[in-house]
Amino acid sequence: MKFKPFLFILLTTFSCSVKNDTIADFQNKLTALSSAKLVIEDYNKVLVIPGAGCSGCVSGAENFVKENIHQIDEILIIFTAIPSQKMLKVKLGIDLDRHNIYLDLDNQFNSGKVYSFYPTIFYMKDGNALDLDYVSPENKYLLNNLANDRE
Amino acid sequence: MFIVYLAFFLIACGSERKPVQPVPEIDFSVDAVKTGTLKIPLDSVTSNNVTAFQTLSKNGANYFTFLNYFNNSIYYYNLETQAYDSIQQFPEEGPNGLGKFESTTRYEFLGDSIMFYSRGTLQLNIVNKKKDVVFKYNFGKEGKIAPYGMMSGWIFRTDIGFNFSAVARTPYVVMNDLPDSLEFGFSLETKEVENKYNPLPVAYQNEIWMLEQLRYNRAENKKLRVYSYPIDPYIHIRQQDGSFSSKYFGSKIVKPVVPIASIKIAQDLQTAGQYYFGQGRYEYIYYDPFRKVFLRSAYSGMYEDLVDINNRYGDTTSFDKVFIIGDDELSIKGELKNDRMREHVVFFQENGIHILVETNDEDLLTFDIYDIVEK
Repeated sequence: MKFKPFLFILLTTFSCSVKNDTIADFQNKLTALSSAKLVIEDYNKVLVIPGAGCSGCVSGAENFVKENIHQIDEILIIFTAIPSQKMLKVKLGIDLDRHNIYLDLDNQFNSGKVYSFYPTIFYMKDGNALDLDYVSPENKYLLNNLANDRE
Repeated sequence: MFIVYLAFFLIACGSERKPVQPVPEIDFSVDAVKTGTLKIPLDSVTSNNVTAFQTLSKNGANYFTFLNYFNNSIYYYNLETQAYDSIQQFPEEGPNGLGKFESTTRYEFLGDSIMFYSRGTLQLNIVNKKKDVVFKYNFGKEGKIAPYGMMSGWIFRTDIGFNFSAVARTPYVVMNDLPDSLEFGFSLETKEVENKYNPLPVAYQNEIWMLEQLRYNRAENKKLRVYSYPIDPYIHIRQQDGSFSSKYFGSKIVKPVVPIASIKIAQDLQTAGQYYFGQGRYEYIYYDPFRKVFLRSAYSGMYEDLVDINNRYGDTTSFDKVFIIGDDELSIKGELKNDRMREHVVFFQENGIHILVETNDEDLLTFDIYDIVEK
């Protein structure tokens, strides 16, 4: 029994370490994108949507973008591992050439520590990533929260 | 005592290892010669990632047809005039609704009728030429076995209905007992399902495999039905009397496939991708009735550190892809090499074997056309 607190601390520490590594990898890649056209300090969240992975979660995130794109100027949307730009445009039915949409054609945001089977929400402040959440089947409400946060 | 027991256990298990089957030396007697290219233009709402397609001969014309899941349609491209003749759209809802085609992985022309199968919902629908639904069956609700509905030879016509291929539902477990009825007959009249004898090869025994390594492809000529399993260089053959045999139908580009070492691989897609794409496999098998040859696809695999799971076949210099060519008796005659091929989209016409290839143009389907010639 006396090992349980130790195990809990160990698991928590390991989990935090993985999360911190993911955030650090993401921060490096996001900073590298920073330019006059893409000012990362303008965004309080970044939603990374992989083209391959949990299909229901990905389509849920795509629908969120489709339905809310004109109200989420403070959220940067990064599409990564895009199987087809043509079909992404058809599915979303919106102009992808917007300030808050980035098409990651080199798949930087779907490799290394930042790789995920699920869409990922990074929480930002002053251009720095502070925390993250995965939009998994158990966490689909997070997209509703994103929609509600802007209201 | 434990060590002694362990030693006996290991020796006992070791003695049950499957014998390594011999790989024959084969002198190729035919060449696959590229004779042309077919480019089919796509409209703004059609993906170049074809999932379901069929050829059709109607009123003296030959068509390449394919499903567009975005607008619930079948496109009919006339191969002689090299133009679209029609686009047939199907309702999603209502009494004759077929649902969204997103998970409809296969369709089949049945005279004037068309059968659709959704791998997502396990729903089989048949519509007549007026697009009225005339037959419905859901394998999820009423049956215990369902068509896998993705691989080549997923369906064959029978006197009473169809024969479907299924898949072993045991990925990521040690396969001590091999399933022996992985295909089944289906009666259109009674809607009854009858399992058919079709044993999983012994190469799978006592090991752990991914689902992708368990699913198989089929093809047949007038005498034989053949089965291509991803891990097995041997092809499995069902004779007309129902008996089974096997014959080497492999390629030197595919090294022996290593089983999964631990089910932990299922928890990490990147590691799983490196394992799966890092080694070779066999996949699709077709019968070309014009040249009377069987074609079996083989992929060499690539070095694990070169595997990019976001773009698995992007660097065509890092792997090889071939079709093994065999005659009516499944004797190997040669190989067709094309590293850009998308071997799941292949069709046959009198003028050649048409193989879809990777291109960067999303507004075209590009097929390389091949003929088989004696050396």
